[in-house]
Order: sequence, then structure tokens, then C-alpha cells
Amino acid sequence: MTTASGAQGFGFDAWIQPFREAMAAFQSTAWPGAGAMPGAAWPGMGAWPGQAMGQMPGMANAAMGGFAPGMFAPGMAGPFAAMLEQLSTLAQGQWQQLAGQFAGGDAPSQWRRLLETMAPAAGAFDLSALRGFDAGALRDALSTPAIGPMREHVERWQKAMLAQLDYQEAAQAFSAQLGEIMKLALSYFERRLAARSEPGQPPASMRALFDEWIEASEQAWAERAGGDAFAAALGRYTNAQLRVRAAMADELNRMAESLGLPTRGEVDADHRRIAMLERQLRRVRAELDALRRDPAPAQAAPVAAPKARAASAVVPIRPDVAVALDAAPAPAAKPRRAKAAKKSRTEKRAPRAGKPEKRKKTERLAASATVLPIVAAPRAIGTAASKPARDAAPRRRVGK
Amino acid sequence: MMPPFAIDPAQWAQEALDFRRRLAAGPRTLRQVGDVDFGCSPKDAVYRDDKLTLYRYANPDRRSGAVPLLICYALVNRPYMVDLQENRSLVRGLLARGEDVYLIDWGYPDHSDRYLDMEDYVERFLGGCVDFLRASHGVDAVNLVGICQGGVLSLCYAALHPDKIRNLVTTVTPVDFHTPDNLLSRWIRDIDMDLMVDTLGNVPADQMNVCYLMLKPFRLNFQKYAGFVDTLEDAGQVEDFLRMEKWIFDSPDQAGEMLRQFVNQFYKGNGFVNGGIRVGARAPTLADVTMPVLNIYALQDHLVPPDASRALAGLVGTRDYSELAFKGGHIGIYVSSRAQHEVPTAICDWLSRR
Repeated sequence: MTTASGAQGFGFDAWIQPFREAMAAFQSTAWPGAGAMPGAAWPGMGAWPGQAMGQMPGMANAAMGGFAPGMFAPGMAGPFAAMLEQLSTLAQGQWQQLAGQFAGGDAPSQWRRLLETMAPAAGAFDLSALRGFDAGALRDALSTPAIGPMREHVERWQKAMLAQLDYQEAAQAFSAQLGEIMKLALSYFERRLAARSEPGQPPASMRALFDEWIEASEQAWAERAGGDAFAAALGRYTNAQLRVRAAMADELNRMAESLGLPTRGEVDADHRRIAMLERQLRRVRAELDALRRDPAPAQAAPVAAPKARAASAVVPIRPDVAVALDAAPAPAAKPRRAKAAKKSRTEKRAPRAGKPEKRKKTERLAASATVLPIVAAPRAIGTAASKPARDAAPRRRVGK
Repeated sequence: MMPPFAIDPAQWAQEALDFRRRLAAGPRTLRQVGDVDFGCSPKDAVYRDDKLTLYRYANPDRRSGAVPLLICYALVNRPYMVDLQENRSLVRGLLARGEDVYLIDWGYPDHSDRYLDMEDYVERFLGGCVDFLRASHGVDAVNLVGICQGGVLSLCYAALHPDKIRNLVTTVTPVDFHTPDNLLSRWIRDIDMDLMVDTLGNVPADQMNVCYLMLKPFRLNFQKYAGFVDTLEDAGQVEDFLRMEKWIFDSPDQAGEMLRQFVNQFYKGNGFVNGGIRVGARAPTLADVTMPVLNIYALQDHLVPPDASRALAGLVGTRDYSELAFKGGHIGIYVSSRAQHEVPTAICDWLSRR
């Protein structure tokens, strides 16, 4: 079959391509700068699973192409637009021909042919890039110990190439999983249509047909995607991809270092130190606050805290809190799972229990922010309760 | 034999023409709508710590002496979901019932935040907000509402500091991460989170979003946009759609160490059930959550299945535990029309009795 757009067959390619072209034109007029949207340029790792799927031959055009770059652009109509676009062109002349074929008899085989052309063929998941060389022989060669003054570098490059091989194999296995799901989805789709045709109420509109396809596909996805095989394939694929990326980042870091440029690792090391220093400073500040408020309990707290709640207070970082924990009544000995599960509406089950005793004197902690002023010190930029007049001021909308 | 579907070329052609008409109306409608705004209730920033901002919502109907109600949102999306627009706002419902509402905005982590961990988020950020409210209101304890991942953080904080939380409300909060219907959890268990964080540092938001879209790929990538085309001639519906779309994809990157600990301790270790949670040097357990607890979950939640939330009943230490099962999904519990009345009413009625 040749469609109005000239694409051969009724396959996914033919459905997607007009959509891509239409949306590209649409974006250029309606969404200036849309090319910078996620999916056009995948930030960060970006390859899970979008970029890598795009890299895999056949995957970008397979039915799971919804995960390919460009397919996630917010605000876009999605591949459904392509389908309707295609059907729209069919409606302008080709559709009658297709309908005639169905009406002419042997509808089931016609329908199967239609489904098969829509389905991601097994060939679509072939990694043609792997053809033409013996992956096993390459793996063996890359596993050979390196010698000589460059051995450390060669060994690293070998590992990187092995990681790439692992990734390609993992990608192939994951693609196979996706292909299985799509085949299952199509069988469910066919079954649902057959079931609807029997009572004499088949889907009479494109939308109804589309919804049947969605339901069938989600059913297949729910059955397979939660299985061990899919999870294992996804995990292997993701982990393999991360190893490739780590190897690439390592090489880039080495290159940057050789050029005298700061590396990601060096910057990260500084960030780690800062985070640790801020954490330690917060702990010290908390202890100082506690000492200022009530020196005696604070000094005793580190010893007293684990006594009542050994499981929850290994090393109290807030001695003042540790005192309060000790003073609190013990929790219920055994949770009440069975009764609670029966409650479906808000309902008070028992009088409040376990409420910590109120302190005799309200503690003022606001000063804590100024004990050790540093760049990262938290600060009050208003007062929560002491300025009721603020609400009477003109309303201000605050965005992000 | 009947064909597998009714074939009426004229009707299908009409559908196609209708589609083209709506699509053609798209640019005009989108120009009319413009850039969507979000957040309908006036609020003031009252406290900051690095990228965190604590907001207080203005409320002329605030009850005298109302205990501050602190909303702790998840890290994986932006908190304005709770106050998206006038007819979709949990915050407005709470304000209308006299509550003094505060909201934590975690900000957008960058590479300098890579090493922030559970202790930083629970003790420093959440704890800092709680202490600020206790001090500024002159109260010993505040009411805390945790949402989704924010509910997990709230449970940890409440377990470590039960004296500072007067009442705890958890909404669509996962507790048992290993229920059979938790697809996300099943996938994550086969992914090397240490390798991911060591390799990527912060985990990109787009990667997280792809993960969520994969949970229902055909509905979320195909069917949703088919419905969007149907609305292209209605500026109001388009605006609602775009606002929700913005929220869905306006996602912060995840601080690496925090995500590593969160995934390893909860998604993999199922720490609330199996134990082993560490927040710094401390080990919170749900048995230490002794204040009254209201647990709200959504019956059609595909991200946090109901059983994942209901597990709280059997683990929490309080004797005052209540549940509300909401007929809706993970997002519908905040933005559906039914939720606008049911959820804030349930929360406020429950709080008023304590």
C-alpha cells in the first residue's frame, strides 16, 4: 500500500514521519525555541532510555519510539497526531481503497496484515551495528592482558570497550523485551476487537479504535513490565549504560587534567568537603544552642538518650531533643494492623496517647541562626507569627 | 464474517477533518493562553536555608491561636501542586478552614548540592523549618503534612523528634515499598544506584520523568495528548492542561547522595518495614511515631499503591491512627474537583478533634 505521503506500507514509520514533519513546522511557528525542549537535547545522562534507544538501530522507529528523543516534547500531540494525520490523508482518497479491501472479503487476514505492518518487526530490533564482526572474538581480544609502558592506559581502554560491548548486548536484550510486549499488545488488541465485534458493537470511530489499542497495550505492559525478566533486562541495560558513561567521563577527566583544567572530580571533592563542614557546623551549633538553654541536661544527654530508645537514638545530635525523647512515654507495644486496615474513613480510634509532655517554658530558638553566622546559615527573612500585619499588606504572588 | 471494526469511511473522514480543524486552532489558542501562571494564593517567604524557602500563606480567615500547619512536599516535583490554581488548591481549602499554612519549597539542587544527604534534608532543612515555626509561634510542636516522598521525610522526622510534631498527616506516602503492585520499586531493585550516583552525581530530572512515564507509557505518551488535541479550541481547558503539563515536567534534579540513600534505604531496603534506616547517626523507626497520625492514600494510585501506604497502620507507634481512602489517583488527590472539598475537610476535621 502506498499512502498519500508516499510512504510504503502502513507501518509505524509511515505514521510517525508525517507527524514529525508536521510538528517541526508547527513548532517553528507556534513554539519558538521548542528545539531546546527535553527530548531534543537530552540533558545529563539522557540515555535512559531515550538517547540509547535513539542510538539503537530500529528502536527510534519502533512502537516504543515514544521514548525516543523528540517524542517527549511537552505540549506536543504525540504520535497520535501522526496516526490521525495519516488517517486524514487516507480519508482524502486512500481510505476508500483500504475500506474496499476489507469489505471485499477475507477481512481477518487483511486485518492481520494491517497489524503486522503496524507491529515492530523482529528485524527492527536487530543491532545491525553488531553485524560484520565477531563480538565474541573482540571480547576475547579485549580481555587479553596488556603489557608495556602503556599497559595501564590500554587496560583502561579495553575495559571501556568491553563496557560498550556489554551495553550493546544489554540494549539488544532490552529491545527484545520491548518487542515481546508489543507483540503481546497486538494480540490483545486483536482479541479485544474480536470480542467487540461479536455483540455487534465494534468500535465505530478512530478514537474508539485508538482507545482499544491503548487499553490493549497498557494491559500487555502491566503484565510484562512488572516481571523479573523485564526488570532484569532494564537493570542490566541501565547499569551497562552507566558504565559506558563512567568510562567516557574518566577519559574526559584525564584529558582535562592533562590540559591543566579543573576536573569534575576535583570540583566534587570540594563540594563534598563543604557539605561535611556544613553538617558538622550544624551539629556544633545545635549543641551550643542546647548548652545555652539548659546546660545540665544537655551535658547528660549523650549518655541518657540511648537508654529509652536504643533503636532510634544511636548518637543524639541534638542533646536537647534527646532529653525530650527520654521523657516521652513509650510507644504502643504492638501495632494494630488488622483493625486499622478496616478503616476507610477518617475516624478517631483512641484517645491521644504517647503525646510528649509539654515543656514548662517555651523555648526560643530563633537566636540559633545567629550563633555562628556563616554563608550557609539558615536565616529568618520574616517572622512567621509575630507580624500579623503582614497579611493585611497587599497580596503578593510568589513564584518559584 | 464481520470486519474487526465498523468501517464508515465518511465518519472516519469527518473525524480526521475535525482533528485537523482542532489542530489548526492550536496556535491561535496557545497564543491566546500564553505562558501559564501557577500558584493562586498569596504567600510570603519567611525563612531560607541555602536553596530552601519556607512560605507562609496569607489568610485573613486564620483562626486565632491556630497551630502552624507545615506542608512538606516531595523532592521530585515542585510544591506548587498544592496551590496550582483557584479551583485546584489544597492550600485554599485549608486556608478557608482557618489553618495557618506553611509550605517548604526545596528549590532546584545543582551540582554543589550533590553531597546533601538524608540527614541534611531531614534534620537541617525540615528540622530547621520546624524549629523556626516553633520559635516564631511560641509553641512546642507543629502540625506536619507530608506529601508522597515528603511524607517519608516527615515520618523520619516525626520518629526522631516526636515532641516537635503535634499531629502528623501523611498523604499518598509509601511505607511498604515492596508491595507486588509497585512497578517502580520492582524496576529500581535491579538498578545499581551506587553506580548511578557515582557516575552522574545529581540524577537529572528528565531521567526521573522518563521513569514515571514508563509506568503507563501508552496512556501518558499517547492517549493524554490525543485528549489534548480535543481541547485545542477551548482556551480554558488548554490552560488547565498546560499548567498541569508544566508541573509534571518542571522537575528538579535530584541531589545525588540524598537519592542514593533514599533509594537504597527505602526502595531497595524497604527500611520502614525491615529496619535499617539511617538519618545521619540516628536510626528512626515508625514505632517512635507516637503523635496522632492521619494517613490519606489514593485508591487508583499507580505511583504509590494503596497497600504501600496502608502498611503504615501496622507499623506506626501511635494509638491514635486514622485513615482516609480517596477515590482517585496520585495527582487527583490534590487537583480533582472532588478532592477540593474532601481532602481539606478531612484534614481540618481530624485536626480540630486533637
